[in-house]
Amino acid sequence: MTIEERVREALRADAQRLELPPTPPLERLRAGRSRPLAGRLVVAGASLAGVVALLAVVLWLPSELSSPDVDSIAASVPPDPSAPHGLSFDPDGGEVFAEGEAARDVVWRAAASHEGQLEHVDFGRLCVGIALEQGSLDVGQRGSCEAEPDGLVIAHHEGQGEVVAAVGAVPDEVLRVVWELPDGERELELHEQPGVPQRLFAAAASGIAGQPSRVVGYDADGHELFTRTVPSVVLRQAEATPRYHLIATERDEEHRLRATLVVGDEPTIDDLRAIATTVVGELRRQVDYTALGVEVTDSTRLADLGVVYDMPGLEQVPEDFLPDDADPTQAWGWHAPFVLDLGPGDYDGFETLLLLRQPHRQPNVDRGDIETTRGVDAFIRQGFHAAEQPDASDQERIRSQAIAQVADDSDLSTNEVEQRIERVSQWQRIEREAAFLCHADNPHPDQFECSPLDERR
Amino acid sequence: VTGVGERQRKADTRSFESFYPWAHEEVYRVLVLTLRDAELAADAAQEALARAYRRWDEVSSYANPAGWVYRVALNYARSRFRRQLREWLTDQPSSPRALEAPAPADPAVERALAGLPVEQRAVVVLRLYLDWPVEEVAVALGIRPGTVKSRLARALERLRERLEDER
Repeated sequence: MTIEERVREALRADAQRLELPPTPPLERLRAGRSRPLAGRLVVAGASLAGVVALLAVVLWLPSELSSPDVDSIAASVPPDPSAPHGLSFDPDGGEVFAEGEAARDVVWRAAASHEGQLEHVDFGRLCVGIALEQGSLDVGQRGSCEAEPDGLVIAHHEGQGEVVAAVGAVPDEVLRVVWELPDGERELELHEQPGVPQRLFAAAASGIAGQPSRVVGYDADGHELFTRTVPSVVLRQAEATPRYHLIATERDEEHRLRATLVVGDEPTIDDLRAIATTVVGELRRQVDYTALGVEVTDSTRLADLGVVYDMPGLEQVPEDFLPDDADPTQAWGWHAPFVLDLGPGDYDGFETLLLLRQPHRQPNVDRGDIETTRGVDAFIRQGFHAAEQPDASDQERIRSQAIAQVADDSDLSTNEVEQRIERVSQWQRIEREAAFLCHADNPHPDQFECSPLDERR
Repeated sequence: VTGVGERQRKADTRSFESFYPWAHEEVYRVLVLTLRDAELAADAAQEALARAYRRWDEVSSYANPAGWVYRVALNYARSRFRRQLREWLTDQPSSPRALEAPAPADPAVERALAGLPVEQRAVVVLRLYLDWPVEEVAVALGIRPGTVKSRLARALERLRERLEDER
């Protein structure tokens, strides 16, 4: 039996044995509601854009924005009058270091010099897209991208010196890219990114530590379609530190502001910037920023506040809530005072969930608290399922049993488990108080309308 | 068992009323296989069908309305997932009637599939379970046919490796 046959057989057998949920009455659809929403933090209209590949962007902002952080950040960057938008470019050496929006210029230059036909390449999204596919890999934030005159752009993973991605122009037919390493070959992921010119490819592979000598592209039949020789200059680990990495390393993790954007297919980075600008304006209108120590003006843009793009690597639906090696307190900006979670709201619109954290009020939730609460929740779910229709006393009994079970499993007292749950609950209650749901119809992000989340529930 | 894809293509799309019961069942099955979360699959299927209902005139004109519903549902699931951490933190357990999947027919395949990224699993399910042609899978997932092929090839390679490791 081939692998295809075995998988097909297993899938069909499993599908046939599934317990099907009752088909809800059509009237419920007509009423515009799908499933009952009780007990959930439901975001009205949350869902879909015309894309499958969501690109996640995390915006890191320096904390204490009322202090002269932006100036000090700028001062920390070696002066380079020729560098637009923080771009460090050495035309003689052929090395380019860039991140976020500036990286777009890098790729544009590199690709245009090679092909002369690429008008617009959004490398910010491309890098993010690569990272997204790679799970927790975050090329955009802690890496650097270097462009070669022939159009090949290599991304390094900061700190580990790994070459994690390559971007270049290849024929459409290329389906497979092989990275030739000193100790053998390594196949690279080949991705197609929305909005990227057809002949641009992005290849990424995590864990490549060696220095590849060539990148070779093959079509579906194994024919070699292109070869890129990787010059040694590209392989050298980045010596310059990306501008915003300085912030991350110089500051305590909890002293950073973090915003999360998840974007769909249609918006460009410029769209996002416009959206973000609007959202900031909306927040300013609705929220007392002064209390947060944030100074925002009409012309404030997130980019002006020192934004770089990154991704959280949390789109691995739904193996688990988080990748095994992810720290949820960091991955979700757990301690960040400000979270902007912008996602597709509908096929023809965007929605964003804004969480304005209040760190001075919120308890210090750590990973242990989260895992304990998750464990209790899982046992409660099991108990509820077994009880079918639990009444109030059943619910209390199930909860007590779940807490006892988790306490037993984790060598905690039931009192400690209760305390952990309470910290998490309190954290969430406070977070909800400052949550706003905004929606805008594409392509008019300036028409964002926001309202407190609780009013939508 | 054969002909799942054929059944799909025979969906009665003359009216939403005739499409709905069939689509609810079929899309739910496919989503469970893809998402591996019955609760989320049920939510996503119903949400997607609600959206299909609201724009049925347009959706029914598509070559594969079920593909559209599947895509919408998958996107919905992704959006939901981004917020799942917060949802999980709600004060009350979200659903006392969570659906439970039966034991898998082939546990080794089940474990191997669980190890795939959802993008690859979606292609595997649509191609192997539904027997959709590459082009149809591409439309449903909003990717190019070449990407469907490469994802499927990569997924099968991973599955093969994992199943061999289990021997």
